[in-house]
Amino acid sequence: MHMSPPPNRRCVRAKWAFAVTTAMVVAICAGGLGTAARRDQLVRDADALPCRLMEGRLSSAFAYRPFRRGEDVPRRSLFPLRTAESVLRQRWQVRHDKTSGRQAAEARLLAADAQGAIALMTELLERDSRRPDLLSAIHTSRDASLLSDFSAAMLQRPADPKALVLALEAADRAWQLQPTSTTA
Amino acid sequence: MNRALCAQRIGMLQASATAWHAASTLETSPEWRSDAAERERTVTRSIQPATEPPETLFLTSLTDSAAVGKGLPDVLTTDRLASDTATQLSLLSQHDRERLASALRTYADGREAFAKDELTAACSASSAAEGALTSLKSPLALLVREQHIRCQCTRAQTGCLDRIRSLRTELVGLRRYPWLSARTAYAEGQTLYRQGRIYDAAESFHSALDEFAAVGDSASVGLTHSVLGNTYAAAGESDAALEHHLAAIRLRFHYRGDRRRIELEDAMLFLLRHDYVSAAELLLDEMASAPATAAGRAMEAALRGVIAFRNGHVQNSEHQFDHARLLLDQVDDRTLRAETRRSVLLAEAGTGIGSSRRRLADIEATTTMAEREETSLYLPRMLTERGIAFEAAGEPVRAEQDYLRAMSILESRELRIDQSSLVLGPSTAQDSAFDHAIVLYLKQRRVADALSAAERSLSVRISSLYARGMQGRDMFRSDRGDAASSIGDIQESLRAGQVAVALYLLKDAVITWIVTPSGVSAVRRPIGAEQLIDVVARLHSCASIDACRDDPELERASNLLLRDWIQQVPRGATLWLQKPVELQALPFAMLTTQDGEPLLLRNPITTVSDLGELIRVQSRDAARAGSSSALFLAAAHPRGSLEPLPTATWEVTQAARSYRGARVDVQARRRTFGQGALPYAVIHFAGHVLVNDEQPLFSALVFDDGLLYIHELDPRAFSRARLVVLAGCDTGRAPKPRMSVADALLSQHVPSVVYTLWPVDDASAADFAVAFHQAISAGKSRAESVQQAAASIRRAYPDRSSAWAAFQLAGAPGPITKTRRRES
Repeated sequence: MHMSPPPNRRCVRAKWAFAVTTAMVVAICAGGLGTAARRDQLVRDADALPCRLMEGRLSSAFAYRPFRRGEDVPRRSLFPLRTAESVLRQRWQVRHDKTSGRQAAEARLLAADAQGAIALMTELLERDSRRPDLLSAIHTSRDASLLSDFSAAMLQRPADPKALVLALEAADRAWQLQPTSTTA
Repeated sequence: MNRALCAQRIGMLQASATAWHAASTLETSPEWRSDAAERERTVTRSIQPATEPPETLFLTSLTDSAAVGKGLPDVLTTDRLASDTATQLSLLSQHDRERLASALRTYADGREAFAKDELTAACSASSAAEGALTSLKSPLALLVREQHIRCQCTRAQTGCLDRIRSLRTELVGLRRYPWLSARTAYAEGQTLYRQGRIYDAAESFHSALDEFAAVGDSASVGLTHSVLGNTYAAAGESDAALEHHLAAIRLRFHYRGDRRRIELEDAMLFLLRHDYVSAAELLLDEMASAPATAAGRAMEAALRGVIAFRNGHVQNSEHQFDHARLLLDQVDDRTLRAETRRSVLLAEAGTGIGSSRRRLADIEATTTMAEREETSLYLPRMLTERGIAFEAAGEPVRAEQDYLRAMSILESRELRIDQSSLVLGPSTAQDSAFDHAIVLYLKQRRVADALSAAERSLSVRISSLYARGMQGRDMFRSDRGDAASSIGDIQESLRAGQVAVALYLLKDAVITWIVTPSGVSAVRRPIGAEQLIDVVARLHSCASIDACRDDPELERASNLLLRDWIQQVPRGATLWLQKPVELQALPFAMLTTQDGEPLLLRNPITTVSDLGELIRVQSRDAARAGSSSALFLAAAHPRGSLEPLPTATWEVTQAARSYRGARVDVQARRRTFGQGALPYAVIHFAGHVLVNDEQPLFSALVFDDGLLYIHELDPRAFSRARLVVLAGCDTGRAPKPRMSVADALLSQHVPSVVYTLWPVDDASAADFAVAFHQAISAGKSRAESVQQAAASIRRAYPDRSSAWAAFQLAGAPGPITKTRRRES
């Protein structure tokens, strides 16, 4: 006779994904948030800071602020950005479309979560170009602003030589697609 | 703006300045524009002051001082060469000071010639200078002696490695000249590198890097980074290679001759090889701003040709190669001209531009030169190129000879095939000598010879250089002492009811050999390698999440990889399957026959890394036969954030009932999987496994008292093991070729390992384990037991491929026990 063991999983990843999905659904149901407005708010929140936390430049129309390293900025000033990021992340997890993905990635970057932003943009690039590896996704993508933002995100990993070269490949591809863009 | 910033951080200051300028011109916001303009000014300023390297400054001031006999401060930290020389100068007569100044000028001329690769002039100058300075008892004689030996080594004179080591020992003993000592480490590294002893060379270069940094010679640090980039690249360690190449780009010095260009060229070839075309193209601006000889300009034109080709501009590419050939005529030195011609030729050969007739003539000349000069790192690629040209010219016998020679050289060096061509040509489209030999043999219907070439190719595998870097042991490196097995040996080793199947991926086809005791046949299925890898990746992806029921990828993969030959294999025969490293993720048991029957139900399967392993694992297994004692380990309560695994406890308790006297440990600790495992023939591990994609030696099995990294595995612990079952997530997933957790155990001579292709859920892992061990104890073979256990899960959950197709066997497929009665 076939004996079934208890139904817990050996793979942490799957369990974690389930927990996140549940939390996300609860949050969205409870919130009913105006996410488009949140995104505009994100730009305003970023512009309200006296400095920018990333040296690279995002493609959205952020006002100029001098660059300062993250550790020099009081944590509480990031609070509005983190709130906006949380909402946009939930929106991405529900919709899973390119627009919400872009906005969520941008928000992560502004909220000083470069690693999360890179992971999300990598997924978007690979999905967009239908290429299984990042470099060929960069070389075939036609989305200049996504490429440019990806480059800005990768520049947040200065100690990683590969990230630096990938950032350059992405920025150069963005520049080839839109030679008049100052962001790329 | 981001482009400018990236270029600036990498150290491509010319490109960065141009990009900042463009950004400031195009920008409409006054603040962003002003920021870009300011950055442009900063970058432009930092381009200007390229510094003279200390060696140049040292020699200039020495020559001046020698003429007038004045004192000389030491410019390098802790190195006393300058002050000792000054002290000795003060004791010399005016006549001797003039002799010394003259000897130094001769030496400087020799250095100049050496930097330009004019070796005859360089060696003769350093020899003359060494004689004069030795007779004057000047400490500078040591410097010149080092240069003389280095010159001899570059010309591949025998015994020069011993001479450089002897000088190094002398200098280390003196403790006064650490800078010279660092130079000898560098020279030793160069010599080893030229001899193809990549790993030893890396160690010498690392010593040189540390020693140059300690005395403050940044110019030499830059040079050493560049050669370390090449060395790591040749060893297949791409990330480390990139790091060193970028470090070399950032350090800007006015080197002699084309030295700076050569650094940039090497970095560019590396970037091109890894498809970083934009980065390589921007590096051209940097190269154009460095001083150049005619040879340097010719090489620059060739690289422009390569980049134009990679960007799809064939006409421009041809134009650049023509220009490169014209510039070659301006190179005065014959040896240098021939070497540059060879590099241009290799670059052009990589693009496939140019007629085969002209190529054969050129390649003949340059190959002959490579053979004579013992710059044998280039030789395998040259021989392959010449073989291709011979084939095109209708001379298959000579082509075969060249391919075989190239294969032998590659085998003796343990280089990774695709990476070895990195330093030899910039095109990713190049095939290895092995690939060409296989295609040639298949054309000639020499099926067994083609298989033999494929097998030899597989034995040339990546080695984990970083294992040395972290002072760890390389658990993926098995002994290569075993003599290569002939196809005849493999046929003889096949037992009744066994068939060996080897798959090999060429650029445009997949070849499958079917080996039975009575014969060898081959099937060639045309398909682009990238396309096939894509199909397999998609199949793996859907199989691991149960989405493959009617998936077209399953149908495509079955058509491409199974249906052409499966009818040659009797139903029920055990398949020894050799998958190409690129297709390791393939769940072979899922593939279906023409009638839609999964291979799982038709044939038991075991996998091997190469067919020679078929002989080795059977012989090891036979030597350990007799015992079926079993150890069952469950690490159900890992520390940290990992989930507890109560089912693992259930799994090992149930599965252990199949063996008399089996030991069960439900709170397994690291040590139990080490010395504690020694007496057992069957070892089962149920727990988390963490695969480290970047550094597979840091993949780990998770025990209740912490992680057991792969590099910490104790090979002695498995000296009696016949079967290890790794019932955790991804235990067969190899983030780099043949570097899965299962591979680590197989490399330590464990005859068979059961592994997983993807993450498995607890329930099916436990079901599989219980059914598998029951079958083993009933006297079924290991391959049949995997088949039977997987089939039972498939019956229960037919749509859950993630559960039934996850488990595979590697290595010896035979039974562990003879009958159940005997065990009980």
